[in-house]
Amino acid sequence: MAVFELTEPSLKIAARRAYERGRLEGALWRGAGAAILAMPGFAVCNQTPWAGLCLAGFALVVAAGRLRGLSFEDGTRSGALAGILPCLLPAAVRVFDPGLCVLLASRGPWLCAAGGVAAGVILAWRGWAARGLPFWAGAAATLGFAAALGCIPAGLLGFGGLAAGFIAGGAPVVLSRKLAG
Amino acid sequence: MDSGGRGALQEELTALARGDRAAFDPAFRRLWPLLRGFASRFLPLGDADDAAQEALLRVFTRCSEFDPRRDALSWVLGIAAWQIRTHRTRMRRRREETMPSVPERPDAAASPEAAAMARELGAAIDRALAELAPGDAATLIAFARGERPDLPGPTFRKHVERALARLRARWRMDHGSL
Repeated sequence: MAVFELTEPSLKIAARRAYERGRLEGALWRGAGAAILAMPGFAVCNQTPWAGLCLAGFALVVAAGRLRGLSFEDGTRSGALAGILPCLLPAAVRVFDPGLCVLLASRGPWLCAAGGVAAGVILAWRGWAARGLPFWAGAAATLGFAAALGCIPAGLLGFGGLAAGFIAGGAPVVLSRKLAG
Repeated sequence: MDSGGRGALQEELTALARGDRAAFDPAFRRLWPLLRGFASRFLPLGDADDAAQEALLRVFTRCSEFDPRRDALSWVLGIAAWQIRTHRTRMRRRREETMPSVPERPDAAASPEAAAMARELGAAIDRALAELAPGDAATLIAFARGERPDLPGPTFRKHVERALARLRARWRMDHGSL
C-alpha cells in the first residue's frame, strides 16, 4: 500500500474508506464464523431449502451487525448467543441418538422448548440494559434464524415449543429484575 | 501527547471499534499530526509523510479490532512503528537496487600534476591490489569498471564491502593512513 502526496481532505476520505473496509472484512469473517458454527444445525437431518435460507440469513445478519456496529451489533451478538442452543441442540442430541432424524417430529418440540428456555433466559438477561429498536431488531433476527434452523425438522409444534420455552425462560428473569430494580 | 489527549484518543478508538462513526473526525484530527510527528523522528521529511499516511490508513483499517482494555496510544504507535520499519526496509532495497551503477571516472582533461599524482596513486593501488587475495582484487576491479559479475546485487555489494575493508587495512599498513 503506497499512498503518496495525498492532500488532507483526500487522506481523510482514504482513511474513512480504510475504516469501512476493515469493518467489512471483520463482518465477512464473523459471518463466516457464524455460518460454520450453525452448520451442524443444517447438516444434521435438515438439508432443506428453508434451512439453507435460515443458515444464510443467520450468517448475513451477524455480518451486518458487525458492519453496522453499536446497538445493532450488540443485539445480533446477544441473539446469536441465545439462538445457538436451540439451533444446535437437535444436532447435538443426534450424536447420542442416531435415530433422532426419524423421531425428531415427536421429540423435537421438547428439544426446541428446552432451547427456547435457554434463549429466553440469555436474551432477557443481556437485553435488560440495552433498549432501543436496533438492539431488539438485531437480536430478534439472529435468534429467529438460528432457532428456526434448529426447529424446522420439528415442524410447527417445534416452533410452538420454542416460543413457549422462550417465554417461560425470559419471563422469570424480566420479573426478577423488575422486582430487584 | 498529554494525558487528556491520551484519554480522548482512548475514547475515540473505543467508539470506532464499536462502530460509532461519529468518532471518526476527531480521531482523524488527533491521529494525523501524531503519526506525522512520530514518523518524522525516524525518517526524512518526504518519507516520513508517506510512512505516516500508510500508518494512518493501517490504523483505521484495523480500528475495529482494537481492544478497549489496551492502551490506545501504544496500540497506534505500535502499528506506526511497524509501518516505519517496513518503509525503511523498502528504502534500503531501493538503494541496493540502484547501487551497482557506473562509478564516476576521473576527469580526462586533468592537469599534468594531477595526472602524475593520479599515476602514483594508481600504481600504489595496483600494488595494494596485488597483495590482496585474487578474488578481492577481481571484485574491486570489476566494481571500479562498473561491471557487475553474475551475482545478485546485495551479494556483490557485500563482496565489494569486504574487499574494500581488506584493501583499507592493507593500505594503512603500507601508507599509515587513507
